[in-house]
This record gives sequence, structure tokens and C-alpha cells, in this order.
Amino acid sequence: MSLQARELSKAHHQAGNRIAVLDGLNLDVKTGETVAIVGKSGSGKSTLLSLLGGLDHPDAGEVWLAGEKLTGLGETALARMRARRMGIIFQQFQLVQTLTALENVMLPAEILGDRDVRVQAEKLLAAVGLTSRQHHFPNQLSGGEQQRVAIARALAGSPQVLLADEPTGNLDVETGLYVMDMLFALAREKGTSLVLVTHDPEMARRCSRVLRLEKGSLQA
Amino acid sequence: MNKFLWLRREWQRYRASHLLITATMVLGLGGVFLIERLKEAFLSSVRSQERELLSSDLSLGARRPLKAQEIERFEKATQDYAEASYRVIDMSSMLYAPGQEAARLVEVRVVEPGFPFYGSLLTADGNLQLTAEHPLFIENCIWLHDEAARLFEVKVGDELRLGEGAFRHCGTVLKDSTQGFRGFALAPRVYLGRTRLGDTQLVGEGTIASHALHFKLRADAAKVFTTEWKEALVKEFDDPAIRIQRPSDTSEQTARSGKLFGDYLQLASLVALILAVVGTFYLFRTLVHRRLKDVAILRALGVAPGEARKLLLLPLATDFLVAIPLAGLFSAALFPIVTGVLDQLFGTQLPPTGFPWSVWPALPLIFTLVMAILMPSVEEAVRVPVMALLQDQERVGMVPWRQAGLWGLLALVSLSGLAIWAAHSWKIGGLFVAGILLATLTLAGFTLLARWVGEKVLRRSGHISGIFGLMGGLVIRRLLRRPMTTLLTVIALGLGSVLISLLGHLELSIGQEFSLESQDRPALFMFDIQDDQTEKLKDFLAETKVPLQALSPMVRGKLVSVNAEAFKKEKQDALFETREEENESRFRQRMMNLSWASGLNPSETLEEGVDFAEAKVPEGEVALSLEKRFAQRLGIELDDQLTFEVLGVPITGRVVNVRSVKWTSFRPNFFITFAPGALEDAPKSWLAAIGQMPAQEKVQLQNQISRKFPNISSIDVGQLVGRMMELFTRLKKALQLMAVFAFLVGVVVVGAMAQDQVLRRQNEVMLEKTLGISPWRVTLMVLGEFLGLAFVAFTLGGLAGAGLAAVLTVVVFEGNVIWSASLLLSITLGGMILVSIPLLLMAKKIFTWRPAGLLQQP
Repeated sequence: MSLQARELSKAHHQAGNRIAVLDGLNLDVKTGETVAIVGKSGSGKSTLLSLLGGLDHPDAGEVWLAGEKLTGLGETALARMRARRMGIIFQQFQLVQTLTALENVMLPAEILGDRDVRVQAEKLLAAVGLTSRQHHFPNQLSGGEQQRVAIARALAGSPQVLLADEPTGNLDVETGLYVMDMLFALAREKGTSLVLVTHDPEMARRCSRVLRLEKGSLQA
Repeated sequence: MNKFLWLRREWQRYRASHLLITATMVLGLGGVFLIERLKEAFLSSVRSQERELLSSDLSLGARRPLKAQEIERFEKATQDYAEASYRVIDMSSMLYAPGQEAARLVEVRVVEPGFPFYGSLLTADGNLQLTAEHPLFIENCIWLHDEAARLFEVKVGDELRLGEGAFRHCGTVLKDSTQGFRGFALAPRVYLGRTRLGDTQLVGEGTIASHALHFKLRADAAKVFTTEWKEALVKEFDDPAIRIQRPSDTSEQTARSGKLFGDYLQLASLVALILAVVGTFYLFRTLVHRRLKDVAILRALGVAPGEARKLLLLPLATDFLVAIPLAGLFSAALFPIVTGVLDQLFGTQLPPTGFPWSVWPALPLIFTLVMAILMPSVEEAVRVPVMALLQDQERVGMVPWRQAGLWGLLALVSLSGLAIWAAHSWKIGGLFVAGILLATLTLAGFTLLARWVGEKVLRRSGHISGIFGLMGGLVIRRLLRRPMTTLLTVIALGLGSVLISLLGHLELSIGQEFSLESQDRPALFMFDIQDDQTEKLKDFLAETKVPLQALSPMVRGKLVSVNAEAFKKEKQDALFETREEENESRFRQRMMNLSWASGLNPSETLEEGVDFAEAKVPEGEVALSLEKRFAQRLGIELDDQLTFEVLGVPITGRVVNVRSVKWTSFRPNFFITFAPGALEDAPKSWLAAIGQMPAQEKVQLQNQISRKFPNISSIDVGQLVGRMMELFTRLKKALQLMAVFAFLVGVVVVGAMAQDQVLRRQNEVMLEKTLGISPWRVTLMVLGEFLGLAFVAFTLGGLAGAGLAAVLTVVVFEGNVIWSASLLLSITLGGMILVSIPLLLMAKKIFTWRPAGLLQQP
């Protein structure tokens, strides 16, 4: 099993009221599996993704990644875990503005201490069709190009799990389709599990499993 | 659109930014206001004491005995209004205390009964009432100022010798209201009755002494003795030696050194203002960039560019207006602290003052400077490509280079105007702006060069982690690729350290120049040596085996024509627009000290022309040598013909060379030196210098000279140098106070910039944590980035300051350059510690930002 969540609970506090977002949620993602998580706005999809990625701490429950328990780990250990085993793709691309496209892709591997990362990063950029743009800075790239760089970066550390939060949310339909084709192809090629949060039913249908997040838990 | 509503919304939405902008302006304006406050307090203090300083309503004076016809003419002009009069003579002489075996130079004030008409001489028993029956006039009494009494360690009743006269110390003056600010005096004062002056035999031919006749006038006299009256009488006398003074002239004169010093302090405060403008520029630009979309929407809705400009500038103008009264309050809060420090340094107690209204002329210039600096950012926003921005592409409009250049020029003109306003001098103001520009260009040039080279290296690098590791690699990329932030931070921190380093290095160079134990520097400098004493003095020194280093004649004369054109004296004590005008006028008015010599002495260097031996001059003329700066100030060139008048006898000379003089050699040196043959028969006195000797022997020799030649004054050069260094150090400390203020403003500005940068980097910080960099490392990277910048800025600023000090030392002081690694290191380390304070306050925030925030963004 690649990624597991057990009895995961998380609540937000707003104006003194406790609003339960996740309530005893369970999830199992097998190695190489693609899972789409759909649900209404505010249903807690992004919250779930942040708990799966160790970006936030649950109020209760556990998250396991490749047999290692994430919950209970400190921030530094969580950061290392993300660097070694996880790739995250954001709706807003979130590239480091002071790094070129190539440097953005090299960054995850360099965080892990790899030195010979340039060739692999160039290959990944070639795979997303951006060889000619590798020395450009994010603000010199279009939205679609930035997201392709973000995908290449997410795959750079050869992660076991990819978490993608509305990756086409900021792109037009055509570019969105192109980017998703690329994401699925690369994930398949590298045998990476993919957890995709989306509003788009078309995108969701391309995953091997679609789960709906409703009232704090996942339903098939 | 309702502008007030817009303004209110603007403040509600961007409260933090406007608060920071206003606070930055308050800091910058506050420094300028504070110095104006100090200057006003100083002037009002001097003006409130102007009658006490002169001690009378009107005086006629000269640095020579007044002639009977001059006194007669003056008395005639004032007879209808004069109620009483007295004479005062001021001179320097040696006072010898036999009990203590101590001889020291003192400033002798010789007075007549009735002195002072205004003010007082305060003693432990109350004010001295100097009637004709006072012991000062009828007994062998001398009164000592407290400073002198302490220096000689004498008690009332002790015996003292002044010139040929033996006196008793009859009392101590604790406070002399006619004395002005004592912080600048080189010798303590003693008081002698005019009736006893003959006993001293101090006044002889060629003795340097100021003679003055003072009048007490009727209450309604002020309307008669106006500036016009004075100018007319001065014209009538037509002698540069004559000086007519009213209380207001005295206060002007007394305030001169204070005003000059205040001008330098104001220039230091301008550095703080410039740093505040840099901070305002950064904060405003950031604010404008955050509002680009708002502007694009307004433009899309049909708002004209002019209207959009107004909407952006209105809040800023409001911030500026709000900052003015707040800066007034800020300067009022700092005033007691700074006056406390000045009191400790100079013993000047300044009265509290209200709002410094004299700052008004500077405010439009400051406003123009701020606007000129900010307008390119406003133009970038107004010219924003509307559709691109509405499609979420962050882009700004292009400002034509010519327009940007014009704004830059306007900024430079307003800064120059401000500097001239502050310095009251075209030259010093211009030098200041040139210095600031040079320092800024050095800092900017280095930053841009580092960026260019760095980017080339980075492009070739195979990975992010270079020799500085991943963290270093990321930090270097941030610094190089956010050039505007890097540049502004370097400038904001660098300029303050330029100033501190400049002052520190100047002090070291000048200190070294003065404290050099040079064999060439005399141990004693002697003056008031009469013509008939030179041989006796030589014999005495030969007997005591003391080396006579130099013996030079001094003749008083006035320059009457240059190339046969009358050399007219100009305004007297009038209000001068600039310092240059004042200096030149003062040179023109002087009675000049002339000398003769067969050639250059060891402290002189030929700059232009030929030595006397090789010079050929027309018949009836004599060869002349002029000091370089003296010649420059009066516009006299090589081969000019100058005519001097010495006691009514014209002597014509031809300038055959221009020489530079090392004044710190403390040898007898003159602005004007004649070749032998012209001045020998003129009435003269002599100056002498005695070579190095052990300290104890020097004291003994000074005592012996004082006993054997009572009219000869001798200065212990070592003590004089010490006193000058002490004064210089005190002035430097006060200037350093402003430099530290400027430095702190820079740190606060950078603190505000860092705060803004950190908030703007929240995403980046969260992203780095998401990608697997530990929170510790992420925090250290942000801190390291600013500390790295601070290191570069302080080091560069320190080096630039040392460079400027080196230029000033060589060009102005003609001394040796000193570089102090420890000073540079302490500037860098001290600065970095200060900068790290606001950064550490932000560290917790950086550390605790949760990366989950990235997923919760819309």
C-alpha cells in the first residue's frame, strides 16, 4: 500500500464555532493507482490533501506513507519525508520565482542531496515539452507552461505519491487537457500513485477510482 | 469619484503600508526638524544674550590701538546718544604662577570701571561691581576665570606675574556672560584693570591686541544706529582694521561657528532623510504593485490616466502631510536628549523651542524630492497594460526613459537645493550631493556588477548547490534576481555606514596628523617678540642649549590693490547668502600678516612659479609668494601685481610663486611672504619656534622665558594640539550622533523593507517547506539573505566612507591616509547586530508558517 489514512479527523474554528471538515475518514491508495477526489467547494478536499501530504496535522487519526507513519512526526522529519517520497502539484503552480524553469525542476533532488541532477531535470523538462524554455523564469512563462514545469518538478524526486490539487483549475480547457495527458502519462511511466483533487468530472473519470468527499468522509 | 471616500478606503485596506510610509517619513523629517530646532535654540540663546556678549550697545574696535582721530570721529557721531563709555583690550599673554612654577598662555581682558554695561561677572560673592574704587583698578589685583584658577591651581591671595607686573589673585570669576560659548576657546581668561596695564608693559609695537571702545546709549538710540548708519560710518573710516559692532553683530559673530557646525549636522540629518526617502520609495512601489489590478480595473472602467495618477498620489500626499506634525512631535521628544548630550560635550545649555518654522523653505523641496523619486512607480501603474493584468499576468507599464530621466533630474535638483539650504554653501552642498551620488553609485555599481558576474556564473553552474551549499545557492539566487530590493537595501544600509566610517577615518587621519611626534614639530611656539628682543632671545636660547627652529618677522599691512585696481572691502557683518560669500568677504576685510624670507621653509612646498632666487621682477617691485588657498580665495594668480600699505607706506610686489603650507607643522607660516628687501624697515614683531625637547625641560624653559621676557607669549604646541584634538573629538561626537541617527534610520527602513519582504515571501517560504526544506533551514535562509545583504552593505559602505575620508585627508587636510580594519569591522558587526534585531522578531513567524496555506489559496 502506497498511502493510507485511518480515522482522519480535522475541524476548523470559525468565529468560535467548531466546523468538522473531516470526520473519521479512511483512504487506501495502492502503488501506481490513480485516485480522484471530488466534492463540493468547501467539502474539505484541500484539507484532506494537506493532511495526506503532511502539510498540516490532523486533530485525530493517522496517515501512513509507504509503511511510515506521518502523523506524530516533527516538521523537519515531515519535510524530509515529502522530499523523498512525495510530489505536490498546486492549482496556482507555485514555482520559486527566483529560479529558472530548470532550477525549479532540479530543486527537489538537490534538497535530497543529489548533485548530478541537471541531466534528469533536462529530461523531465523535455518530457513536458519545455526544453527551449528551461532558462526562463516563471514570470516569463504562460500559465500552461508554468504548470508543466510544476509537474516536472513534482516528478523530479521520483516520488511514490503525487498529490495534485486542481492542477488545471487555472488553465483553459485545451491546455488543461494537454497538461493532464502529460501528468497521467508520466505518473504511469514512473509507477507513481496519484491522488487528484478536482471539480472536473472528465478529469476524475480518467482515474482508476473516483471518491466523493461528503460530510467529512469518502464515498465511492 | 469621491476622493475622500477613496482615501478612507485606501487607509482602511492598506493601513499597515500607509503607517509604515508615514513612520518612515516621520523619521526622515524628524532628523531635519530636530537640527533646525537645535539651530533655532542656539540662535535664540545667542540673541537673548547679544547685549551681554558685546557688554554694551555699540563699540568701535580694531586689532591695533585706536587712533585719537578715530575715537574723536566716533564719539562725535554718537555724542547725542552716548550715556557712558569704557575701553576694553583683549590680548594673549603668558601668566606665571611662581608658587606653582607654572607659566601658561591666557586670554587677558583689560577693562575699565563700569564694565560690563550689560551682563555680569559672577563670583562666589555675587556679581563684580567694577567701580573706579574696585581693587582691580587701585591695587595690584588680577581676577581669574574659574577655568584659569583651576589650571594654575592657585588660591585667592597667591602671587601671579603678568608681563613685567606682579599681581595678587584677588578673586575668581565663575561665569562671564560676555564670554559666549567657552567650548571653542583655546586659553582661559584673566581680568586686569586698565590702570594696571602699564605695570605689565605688555602693549608694545607689533603686539597683537584687540582694542575696543564701548558705549552705553540712550534707550531711543536703536532707531538711529541702524545698519545703514553703520555702513556709512564704516565707509567713512575706510580701514579694514576698524570694526563697528552692535549687539546683533556680536550675536551673528558668536553664532557663526555654531551655525557652521549646525549646517554640518543638518547635512548628516539629510542622509537620514535620503534613507527615509529610499524606504518610502520601496514601500510605495510595493503598494503600487499590489494595487496594479485596482488601477487596471479603474482604467478599464474609463478613468483617465491623470485621474488615476491623482488617486495613487493623494494617499501619499496625505501621508506626507500627516508626517509633518508628527515629525515635529518626534523632534520635540528627541530635543531634550540631544541637548543633554551637547551640554555635556560643549557646555551649551539650549533653551526649549517650539516648532522649527525655519524648516518651511525645505518642505517643498523635500516634497518635490519624494514625488520625483516616486513618480516613475506611479507612471508604471498608470501605464499598466490593462487587459494583460485583468488576465492575471503581473505586468507593469513602461515609462519612457526620457520621462524617467526628467524625474531623476528633478530629484537631483531638489536634493541639491536641500543640501545648499542645509549647508548654506554652494560648494559644501554641491560636495555633499556629489559625495552622496558617488557613494550611491559605488554601492549600486558594485551591486549591479555582482549581479552581472553572478548571473553568468550561475548560468554555467550544473546545479543550485554551489560552494555555499543548497541554502547558499538559493539565497544567492534571490539576492541576484531581486535586484531592486537588493539595491535599495544595500543603499539604505550602506549610506549610513559611509557617514560613520567617513567620520571615524577622518578622526584617525587628523588625529595622526596632529599627534605625530615629529622631530620637525616645535615644542614651543612664541609670539609678540619685539624687534629689539630677537638677539637677546637667540643668546638666551644658545646659552640654554635649546634649538631655535625658526624665527620669522611679522608685519601688519593691508592689501590695497591688485594689478593697479583697488581691492575694495565689501560688506561688514552683513547677512551673507552663502558661506563662500562670507569667507571671501572676511578675507578681503582682514589686516594681513606679512613676512619676508629668502626662500621656502621645510613646511612649505612650491606649487607653481619659481623660488625667490630665480625670480625676476620689474624694478620698484619685490618678489612675492602666496599660499595656494589664499590665492584661490582672492582670485590672485601668478604674475599679478599686489600693492600693500604698511602704516601708510605702499609696497608693491609681484607674485612669483604659489606654495602649499603644512599648517600642522606649527612653524611660523604666512599667507603672504615677501622676498628680502622690502619690509625690513617696517614696524614688526617676531614669531619663533623651538625644537623638540623633553616635557620637563619644556616646562622649565617656558617658565624661564616668561620670567626673562614677560611680554613674549609661548604656546606649548603639544598642549595646543591636545586641546584642538579634544575640540575636534567633541565636534566629531556630535556629528557622529547624527550619523548614528542616520544609520538607525537606515536600519529601521531596512527593518520595514524586510518585514514587507518576509510577508511577500510567505508563499515562497511555504513552498520551500512543502518541497522538503526543513523549517529551520527556511528560516535561516531568509535571515541569512538579509544578514548577507547587510554584510555587503556595511562592508561596502564602510570602505566607501574610508575612501571618501582618504580623498578629504589628501585633498583638504593634506595629511596621511589611515585605514582602520577594526573600525570597518566594528561598523559591519555592529550594523549586523542591529539589523538582526527586527529580523529575529520575524523569525518565529517564518518558522511557524504552515505549508498547508498553499492549498487553501483561491
